Amino acid sequence: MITFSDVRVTYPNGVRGLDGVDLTIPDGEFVVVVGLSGAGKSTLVRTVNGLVPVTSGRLEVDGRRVDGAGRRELRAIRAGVGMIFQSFNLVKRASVLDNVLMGRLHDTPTWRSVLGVPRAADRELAFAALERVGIVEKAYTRASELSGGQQQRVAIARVIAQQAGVVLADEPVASLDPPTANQVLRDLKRIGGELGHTTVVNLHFLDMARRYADRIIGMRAGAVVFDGSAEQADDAVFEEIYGRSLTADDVLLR
Amino acid sequence: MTTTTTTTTTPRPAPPGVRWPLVGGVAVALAVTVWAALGIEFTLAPLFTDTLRGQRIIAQFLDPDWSYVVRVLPAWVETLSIAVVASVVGCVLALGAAMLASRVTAPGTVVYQLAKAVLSVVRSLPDIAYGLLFVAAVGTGALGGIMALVLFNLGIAAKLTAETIDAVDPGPLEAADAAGGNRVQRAARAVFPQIAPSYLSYCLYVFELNIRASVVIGLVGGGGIGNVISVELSRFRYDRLAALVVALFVVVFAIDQLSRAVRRRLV
Repeated sequence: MITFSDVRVTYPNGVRGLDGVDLTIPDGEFVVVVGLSGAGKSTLVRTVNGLVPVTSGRLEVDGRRVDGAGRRELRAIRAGVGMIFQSFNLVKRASVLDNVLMGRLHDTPTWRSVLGVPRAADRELAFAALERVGIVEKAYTRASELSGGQQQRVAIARVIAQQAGVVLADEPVASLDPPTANQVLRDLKRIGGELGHTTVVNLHFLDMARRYADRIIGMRAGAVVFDGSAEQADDAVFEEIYGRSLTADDVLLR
Repeated sequence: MTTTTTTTTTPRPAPPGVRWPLVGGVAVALAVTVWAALGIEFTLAPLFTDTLRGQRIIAQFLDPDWSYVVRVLPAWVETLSIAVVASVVGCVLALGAAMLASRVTAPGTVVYQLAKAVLSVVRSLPDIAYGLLFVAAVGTGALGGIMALVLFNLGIAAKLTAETIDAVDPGPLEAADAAGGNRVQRAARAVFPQIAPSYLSYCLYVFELNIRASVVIGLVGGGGIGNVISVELSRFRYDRLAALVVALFVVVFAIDQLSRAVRRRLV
């Protein structure tokens, strides 16, 4: 469970990222965060694993306080929170397998990481994760040789291998073409269901948000302005979130 | 035929005045040059008056003793060994030092600043100064030469590698952080794979430099072919020196070409 209580984030340059957010995300929910760019979607997701530090307020993930956590505590929290990024964030020169094994870092002794000798059990976890996203045959291919959709699937496999309860996805399909974007979201949703992940995804396409979300959170100027089910989020709600009328750019297909 | 334009437009801007600082600077540079030349009593006269004296030397030089090159084979091998050992040790140390001297991987600002400062001090001494230092410290021979080259390599390779680390794609580092990895794990699994080709290329580059530098360091007692050259020079055996210099040129050129071919394939 993730709990935000009056969470505020102010960046060093004075920009207000979050402005008093109160939210409770129960285990196993697939939450989609929508809003214009600059509305604080990315900040919201990144506070959960402490990539963006909270300025004030209280943020708990599975009973652990993220705000004010020290380096060691933060690593312990992050071990239980996987993340998927817009630009995949793979080591492009490294093999797919090595990239997936990065999900095991939290449970790997440092000397094994330095010498590059993972435990057999971790390799098996990595292979199993690749199997789940359907690219196990690419294990020894360089990440740079894969298509964008395949690279994002490697990133999903990395999160699966991490065996985290919470999965954050920061604009996971923004660099992908529409069919691939759908495929990746379908994978995320299916795997999240199979493994009981609590998933928080940033999207800016309305049709995708409606199709995949259990719950939609709308953000505007750092504050939550909508919080409800996908059915409740009709066009009027989105116009309210976006502060303008909808355009063709707001949907992925058509 | 001339055409006169009578329409007066805006007045043309006056050209800028003489740039006195520039004129002054050039004058000072000239004065210093003349003063320096006078100070050392610089003259080209020996070039003409003493050429005859050099005739014997040049004659010897033009008649190289090729067999000597092969007779000192152990010294060549020693030079190559010094270069190889110094490159490997220097580059391994440089990788660690580079990790400390880049903001991306350093464990804190203090360590970063300190590592930068130490490296810049290490780089400020030329190879021959390290040679003199270590030969004085551990005596003549390969050990002093190796130690001198290790420091020389450390300075160069660590700086180049640290700059490469500064420029890595931060995405994978963020992923390593988000997965709960520690700093060392992040450096090993997210940073190193990105810099590996450049780093290996720097190692080979430093090895190229070492072949040349090990000769210079040999001159001051660091072992290898440089030692042989130093001895033959003091014996006035210019026929042997000529052969050694030509052979040296061939060896350095061959190793440079080889190393460059490998480096091209790396990046």
